[in-house]
Amino acid sequence: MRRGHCEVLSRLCLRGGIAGLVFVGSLAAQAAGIVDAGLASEPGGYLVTEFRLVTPGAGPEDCPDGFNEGYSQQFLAGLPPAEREPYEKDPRLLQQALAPWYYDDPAEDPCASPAAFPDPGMRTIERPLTMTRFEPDGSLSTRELPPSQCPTPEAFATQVEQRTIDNQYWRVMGCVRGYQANGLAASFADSAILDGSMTILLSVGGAASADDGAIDVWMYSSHQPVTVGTDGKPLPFASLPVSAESRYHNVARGHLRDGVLTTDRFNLRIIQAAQRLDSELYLRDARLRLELDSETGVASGFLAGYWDLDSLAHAAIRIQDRTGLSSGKPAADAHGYTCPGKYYAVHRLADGHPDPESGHCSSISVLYSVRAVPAFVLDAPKPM
Amino acid sequence: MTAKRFSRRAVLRGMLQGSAISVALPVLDVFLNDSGTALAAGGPLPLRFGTWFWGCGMTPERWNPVAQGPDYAITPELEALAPHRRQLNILSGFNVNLDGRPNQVHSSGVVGTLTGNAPLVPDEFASPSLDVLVADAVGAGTRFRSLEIAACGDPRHSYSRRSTSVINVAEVSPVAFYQRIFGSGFQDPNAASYTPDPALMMRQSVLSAVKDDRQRLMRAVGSRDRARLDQYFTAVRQSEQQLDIMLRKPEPLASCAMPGAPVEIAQGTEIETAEANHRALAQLLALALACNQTKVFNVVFSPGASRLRRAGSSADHHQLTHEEPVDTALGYQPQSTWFVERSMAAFSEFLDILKSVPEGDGTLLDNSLVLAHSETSLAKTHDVTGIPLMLAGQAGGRVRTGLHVKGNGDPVSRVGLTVQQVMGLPVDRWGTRSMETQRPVSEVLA
Amino acid sequence: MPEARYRRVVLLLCLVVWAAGAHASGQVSQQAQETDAVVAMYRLTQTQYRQSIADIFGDGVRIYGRFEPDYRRDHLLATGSAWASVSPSGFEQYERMARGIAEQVLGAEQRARFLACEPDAANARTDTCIQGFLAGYGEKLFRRPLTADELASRLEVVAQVLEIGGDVHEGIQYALASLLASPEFLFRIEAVEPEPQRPGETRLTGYSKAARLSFFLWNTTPDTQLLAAAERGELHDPAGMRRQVKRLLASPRLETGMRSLFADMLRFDTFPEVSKDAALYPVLTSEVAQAMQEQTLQTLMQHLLVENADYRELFTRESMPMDRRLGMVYAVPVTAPEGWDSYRFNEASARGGLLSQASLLSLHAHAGSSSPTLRGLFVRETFLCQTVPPPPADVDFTLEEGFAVEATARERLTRHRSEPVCAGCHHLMDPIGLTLEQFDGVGMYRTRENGHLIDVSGELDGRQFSGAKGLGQALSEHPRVPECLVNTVYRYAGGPQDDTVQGPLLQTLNAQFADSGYRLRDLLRQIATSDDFYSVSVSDDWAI
Repeated sequence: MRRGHCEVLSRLCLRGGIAGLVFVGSLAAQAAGIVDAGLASEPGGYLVTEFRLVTPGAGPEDCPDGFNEGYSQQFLAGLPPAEREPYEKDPRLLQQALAPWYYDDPAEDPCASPAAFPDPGMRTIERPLTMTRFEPDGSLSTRELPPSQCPTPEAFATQVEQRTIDNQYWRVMGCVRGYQANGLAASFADSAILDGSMTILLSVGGAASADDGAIDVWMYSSHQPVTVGTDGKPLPFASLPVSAESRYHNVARGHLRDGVLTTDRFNLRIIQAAQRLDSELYLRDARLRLELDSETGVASGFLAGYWDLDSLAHAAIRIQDRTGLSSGKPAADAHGYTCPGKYYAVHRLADGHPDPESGHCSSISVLYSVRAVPAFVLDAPKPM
Repeated sequence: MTAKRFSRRAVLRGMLQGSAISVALPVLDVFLNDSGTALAAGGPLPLRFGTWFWGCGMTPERWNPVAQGPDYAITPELEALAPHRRQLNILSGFNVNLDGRPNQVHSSGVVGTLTGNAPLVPDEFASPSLDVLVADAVGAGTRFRSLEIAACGDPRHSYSRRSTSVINVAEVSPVAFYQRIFGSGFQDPNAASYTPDPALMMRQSVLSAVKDDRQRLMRAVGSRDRARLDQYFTAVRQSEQQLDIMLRKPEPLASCAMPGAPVEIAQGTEIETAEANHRALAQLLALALACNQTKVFNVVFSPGASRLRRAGSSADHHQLTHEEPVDTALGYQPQSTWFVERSMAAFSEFLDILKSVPEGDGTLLDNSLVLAHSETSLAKTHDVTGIPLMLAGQAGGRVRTGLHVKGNGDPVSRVGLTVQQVMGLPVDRWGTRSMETQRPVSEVLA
Repeated sequence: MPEARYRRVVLLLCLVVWAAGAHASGQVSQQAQETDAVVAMYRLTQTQYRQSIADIFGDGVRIYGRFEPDYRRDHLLATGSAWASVSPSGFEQYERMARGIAEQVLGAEQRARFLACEPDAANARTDTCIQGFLAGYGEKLFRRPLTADELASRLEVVAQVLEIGGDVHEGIQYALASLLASPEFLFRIEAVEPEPQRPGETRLTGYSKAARLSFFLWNTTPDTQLLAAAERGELHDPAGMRRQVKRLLASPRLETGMRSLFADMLRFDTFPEVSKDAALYPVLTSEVAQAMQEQTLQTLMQHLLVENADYRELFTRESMPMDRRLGMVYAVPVTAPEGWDSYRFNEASARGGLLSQASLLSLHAHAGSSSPTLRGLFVRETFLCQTVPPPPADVDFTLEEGFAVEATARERLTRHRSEPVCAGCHHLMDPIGLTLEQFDGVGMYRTRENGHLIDVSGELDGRQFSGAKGLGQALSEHPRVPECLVNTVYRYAGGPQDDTVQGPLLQTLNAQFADSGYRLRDLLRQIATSDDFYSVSVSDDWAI
């Protein structure tokens, strides 16, 4: 079985990296238990080194009313010009005026409890956009399309297989200063991986029993920080254990054709942590598409899916931090938006998983770009 | 590539011959009088250590030199320090390792650098800061264990801490700082009475016992070994001579002079204001050092998450690092880099001030070691890898300067260990978890 | 070899046999060491200093200070230590370390562990408690009992400190510091005494033999039992010597000694100077560099001491210890989250044998590339004990730039073979190193260089082969390989260097090594129990 599996994955095993060489060798002569255990279950492992929201940047007509404003900007804009000067001279005064930035009581925190506050409005991109989307056949497209709509529960249930996964989250954040090409969010990309907060593993293999050559693609969180080399990037060929929490073991049915790996729909939960952030990313009906470079062993591509709004509110509005506080307000101010504004905007533009009773969508499409290097995935659960 | 290639011949020669160090040399049977400034005036000049901190880091592509060693090209953000490059080491690529601990933004970097330990919570000093360790070892003989100054008007801008809660607060007012040093309690060292340290005399008796073995051994050895032993005993005699000098009443400190009282100037975060305060405080500090009032100092030009700002602008340096877009044509954040350049100019001015005090054959800077550092590399992302660090001054000949040294991702604790060893602390390892190290930055050790 | 070159000098001229009556304390020398002639002085290496202090005072005592670099001569630090001296800045450090150690030993916290009795300040020069302490630790530090004068001058230190105003513990502390800063501690001094059976001849003193044996096998100062055997004269008796050698070889401390031997032989002290291009070799962090050395030393200990296997099989050994950090260099999985696992490379792997380990491959390469020449030179010097002359001074390297366009090292090194001035030496090195070209500048596996397949065919002394495994096989069957180890171990141990002793002794040792199946333990035993190993020659630079 394993040999057949390896033939299917010939690029992965033999050309996709040295991992493959060791795997083949291990079948031939390895007696040591550790080698077999490590490789027999997970021949084609990867460590995700880049995991970034796709934020194509706002075009000249995308935000006709300008970018959104954070708490500080709104405060200053609300003052008569004559009264702004002291705040502009001494930013500490501005800080004091807008205190508190951290709330002891989540009920009072507009970022922890945004629904308890009125909608201040948020400028989002409403016009048709030409951008990357994930097509039902696993390919990518860049057609010009208007915002996707929240379907009826019945329509979503029947169409989800045939639905293009949009990147509606970009429409929400597109008119935010910090989400532009050279903004704050882009600079933070990958920092969570590099600083050891967030380690994501992939493994390709497992049961290859399906007649159509389908394979299992696993995506895991790991609690082990990546090892960074002298060039400041995560090193390949690391041996990394998956998280013991089965909650973070996600499996999808995958297909490998011509060096491109795609998966069918799967639900994905991974630890989302960064600096002080301590949360979880929950994508529903997600799909992965990775191109495998036979020379370097690097896998790169996209992850698309529907971001559960509760998960989004915790990780990206409340921004729950490890001390138990919410960093939502300072983060919103630094990027240039308000928490209730974002909360209502994601609900307005939500386009997935409509609630059978209310009819409101409970998830929003989102697109991540992904890059991964070969790695040895350890302690993986036995495939079904 | 070409530049990095070894000369093959040099490599072969090195391998075949080894490096010819510590081989017995012909002995000059004279007292080896140190040719540097250390003993020139008849008494050893004090050795000082200080830190100089600026907030919000730098732009790696514009601050880090490319070439290693003495011939690196000055980078845009280091331009202001070009006049001092021969008295300065640039250290790039040294990391604060978080080891899975949270990145406490604007805190992990500075605490990690100064304690060799990443904090669990912001501003947690699980062990004393570097300057406190040095002051504990060398600061006992001076009036002040250490002196702290901060340029932005806030006395809490100090990273000199014995523990999380015990902070050596900074002087922010030149007038108050002057009073503290040169007001009542100031004794002119030129007139001070002198009591010899008994420990020095005890050390003399140690060397005397060692020397007792000389005659017997010298008779017993062959000629080759005799030369080696002779070199050993010459070294013993030099140590004795140093002790003799230290047991004499110190020479008057020629550079020590009472300055005139300064006038009060405005405090604040506007950059020209901070620069003016920094200048006035640094000049007083230099005289305090020249008068041997302290051997340890700490300067905060701007704190972590620097609030420095330009007149009339509401965005301060910290905000700019996060909010200013990268200029696509330039490839960096132009306003943020401006603050970095001004911070480096301020450090350059600080070094000018230390150099303006003559001491022995050189200047105050020659008998000092100054560690300049920030809490982050690229502040935009709170990056604690590749923390910018500089070591200025030759520490009385103990430090080689003029180099750019790449850490290649080694823990920043190597720098702290180096500082401690240069300052004579009996320490062979420092730092915790993956930052525990036994390797000083040997390139800069003279 | 003319007799005069190493005549056994009649030392009686300067040997004043000191009939010191009854030995008062039993700890102070009653022999004539005051004037025993010194035949060799070895400055303790950093490792020897650290291990001696740990053995004498326990692991809890830390050493604060910076050591002078050890000095390598004839490819060994052990040989260089017979030439190294102490510079003024070096002594400053030794003196500081001495005070630091003494302060810990006599400080209030730890003192009771070392000083069991109550010293009497009023009678500092005659107090038996103080004398006992100084004589006891003096013997451990000097590796022989103190002479009466040596003890008296330390008691004088105690008295002086008391006069200056210190307390008695400070007095003992400074006296201990003076022992630690003494040349008798910092150098291992070998002395000779008259040979009682053969008047006019000399022999190493028993204590000198004890130290030579202990530093050879354990790389540290003699333990109490060995010093006691020396005192009883047992080390002059073949049976007594064999007992001690057997004991030392059976001890787990043998590993400490053998790690030092191989770290010296493989030049691991130069690892800190290894500087690699950070962008080309991101995997080589300082932690990984450390792990590489550890892997090789563990391999050697496992093979030679634990398995007691044939030395030659090291060059074809398939398994090696592996940890997570090294897993990234070798691109293999490592399950143990911390510490070491054993990993076996299989038949299909290009890797096998000691020479395919990342430590050696990294150490003998350039900052941004591998180096067949340096690797070949290393093999010649270290495993074959051959010398390759350095390049002639007038070699023009300017054409080197042109080579850079060639895809693989083999093409770039063509000139080494085509130009007679180069070929004479490079044919000794390049064909060896080219077989290791599938490992880059930090020992990571590759099949291509600049997109071109790497040809790993090569040659060693007329034998053709391919790849690292071919080289390992060739070395394992090369007759000079075991001889070179015998020679290296012998020189490391400090065996006599004059040819009349060394020649026949090495011949015997080589034959015994072969008979034993090339087991290191047997070689160590045969060297350590050989009479000739302890024989003394006094060359004529010894001037009376």
